[in-house]
Amino acid sequence: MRFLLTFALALPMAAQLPSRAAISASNQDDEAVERGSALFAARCAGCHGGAGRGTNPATDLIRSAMVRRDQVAGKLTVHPDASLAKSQIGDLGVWLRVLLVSVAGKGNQDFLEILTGDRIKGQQYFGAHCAKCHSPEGDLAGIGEKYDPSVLQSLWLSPRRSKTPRTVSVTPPGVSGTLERIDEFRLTLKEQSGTRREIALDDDTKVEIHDPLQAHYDLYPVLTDADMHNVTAFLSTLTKERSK
Amino acid sequence: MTRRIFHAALAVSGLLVAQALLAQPILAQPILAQPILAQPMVAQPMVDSWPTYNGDFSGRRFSPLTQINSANIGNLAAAWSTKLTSGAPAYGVRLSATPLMVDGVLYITSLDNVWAVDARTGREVWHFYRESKGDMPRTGNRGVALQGNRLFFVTIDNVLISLDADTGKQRFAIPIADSKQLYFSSVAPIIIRNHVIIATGGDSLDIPAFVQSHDPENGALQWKWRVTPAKGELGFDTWPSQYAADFGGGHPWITGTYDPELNLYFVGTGNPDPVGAGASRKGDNLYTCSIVALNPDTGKLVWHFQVSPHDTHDWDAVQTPILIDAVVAGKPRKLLAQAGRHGYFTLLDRTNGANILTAPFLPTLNWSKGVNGTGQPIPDPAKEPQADGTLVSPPTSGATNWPPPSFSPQTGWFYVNSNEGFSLYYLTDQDRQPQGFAFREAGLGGGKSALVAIDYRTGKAAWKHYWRSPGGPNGILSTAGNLLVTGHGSYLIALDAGTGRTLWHATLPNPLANGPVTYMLDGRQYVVVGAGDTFCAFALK
Repeated sequence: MRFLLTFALALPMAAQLPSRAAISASNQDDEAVERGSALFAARCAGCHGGAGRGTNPATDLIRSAMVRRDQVAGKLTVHPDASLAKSQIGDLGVWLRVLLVSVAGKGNQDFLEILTGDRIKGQQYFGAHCAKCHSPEGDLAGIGEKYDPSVLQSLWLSPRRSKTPRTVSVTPPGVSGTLERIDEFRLTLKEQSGTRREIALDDDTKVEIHDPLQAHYDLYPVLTDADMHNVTAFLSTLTKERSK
Repeated sequence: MTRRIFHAALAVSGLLVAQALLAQPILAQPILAQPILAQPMVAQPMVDSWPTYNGDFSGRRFSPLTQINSANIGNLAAAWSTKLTSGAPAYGVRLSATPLMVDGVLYITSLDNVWAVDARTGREVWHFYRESKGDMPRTGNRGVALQGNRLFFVTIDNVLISLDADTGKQRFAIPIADSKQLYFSSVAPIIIRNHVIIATGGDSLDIPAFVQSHDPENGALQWKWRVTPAKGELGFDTWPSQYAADFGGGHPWITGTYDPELNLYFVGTGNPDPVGAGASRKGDNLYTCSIVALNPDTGKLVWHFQVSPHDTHDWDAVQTPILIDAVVAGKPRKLLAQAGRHGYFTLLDRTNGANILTAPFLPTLNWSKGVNGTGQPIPDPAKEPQADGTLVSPPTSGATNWPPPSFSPQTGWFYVNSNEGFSLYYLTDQDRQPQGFAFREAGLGGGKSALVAIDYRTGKAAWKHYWRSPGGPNGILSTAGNLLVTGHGSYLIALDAGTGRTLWHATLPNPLANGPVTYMLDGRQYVVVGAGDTFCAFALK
């Protein structure tokens, strides 16, 4: 017992465990996943690591060719522990598949700690660079509780367009309006009168687009990661309660 | 003399048409029943065929044809179009392969499918379908190789298949990698004499990567070169351990180029594994993200140049290494140029891999601290993926990607479609032994796309054609008719190769999915592209 406990304490502080997305992508029975996970933690993780990636000298199960072949075949033939029942081996196979899918699939991974910034410094940066257009009590009220930090960080850097139409002027023919669509050779705009116009473009057509989001895009080359994290930390504190 | 050698002879006479400012004739090898040709016979791009992935061995995708040119391009119009249907409806058709055209027949692939199509009419001649099995992602296929009437391609579930090019009947099918390790294969084979050269793909599970050669007769393995070195081999000390090197990846999933005089095969290798996390593989991680020169007869490494040491952004270096022959400081030089996914243009001496020039072609690039004394970018550790995110240009899709660039010996410019933009890179795996995909990307808006003409002598942009909307990158063809042909959005577009001015466009049924090709058939020059599931040919009205 003591031996096992020593191993458990020697495990990395945070074993890389599969995300919900990975569990879902592995397409396995939920209850079998749960049983397999518990069984793995109890019977295998002590030597093979919480995420199955091995310890010295136990095998890295994720990089084990044998385990991978078994997974594809939908069975587990590697089971050194003779005391395991057949159904338990099946459950372990399910969990190993989840572990494999969690490393193999792009986007199957959970974000780690996003909120590392200094919210006071973030507030100062906001005051200096963002307050001209945005207000913590106005358009951004409650944004901190509305979004997960990973989404929040993306959104403040690159807001969705729906509320912020682009305007455009096109010469020739010398018209302007709200930009609805543009590609290499065609542009559609809506004039102030409500008239929609489609204009053919060539290399000599001067198209000037005013994009309200451009100030955000212009930040990218100059924004430091520290400022970015600070602003995200500040925005994450903007609850509706705080805005009152 | 076979009919195909006759074609080669015609090509040599056609050579005079194409004498270019910088061009010394190089590197086309026609398809041969008898594989050995005298050197002068292999020395010019073909005009009446498109017999290899890049049209010839140089990777230039430059055609000496001039029937369609910048003066008459306004008369270019659709000649035919054919919508191709997959053998299985579950996966649609995407023609990301470069078609080959020989003796009036086009050969093109999509996942699990090969078609032979009449190059005059677009009519299907035969269709081969085989369903791939396994858990691997279903990516594109880059096309076939031909030798005589023997056709070769690889499947996503890692089988090298040879067909009879006349009938589409299978000659052999040889497993080339273990699908259960999540390998997946998509490369267009290249044939050098009696070597069918392919490479592995798949960076999901940290599997070792290979370039390998097979016998065209029966598919037997001739040699295998592993991208990451074993203990005792040169470059092994760029990995912390045998374990890290063994699981270090680096799949060279795009076809390389070949210099018959040097008898060297040049190929770009993929990114190291695990993807996005460098903690367990400290060091340069040779020979990932490198241009390597292999002896095609033995698979032995002759030289290497690592264009991106210790990649942590999923920017492979598989982009076509283009061969350029030029006179520099009064001396004829054999050069090699690549515009990489990481945003740098690299120029090498292809006789020995010595760096001549490295220069960024992406103005927004922010992940390196500059270039070291040997011409390699110096990665900034602060811009490696971080748990709380770091803002990096370019995005993981890269400054450019696999779609083929082009080099015109007429203008001396290297053309590449590029994307300027930023993404957030998040480290998602802080295990002491990160594995597989160990990072995530969050894309940001505001990106711009441009067709860039790079002066290979300076690495600077001679001009840039900014597209009016972001997208791509797309493949490029250049011709002696002073044309660049590429795509953007749903358009096929021809530009003046000298100035980048738009000369012509046509609406495609779907966005361009491959690199355009051109050839002369019955006295008529065709430009042929894959647009989603539709094969489209254009010629003068």
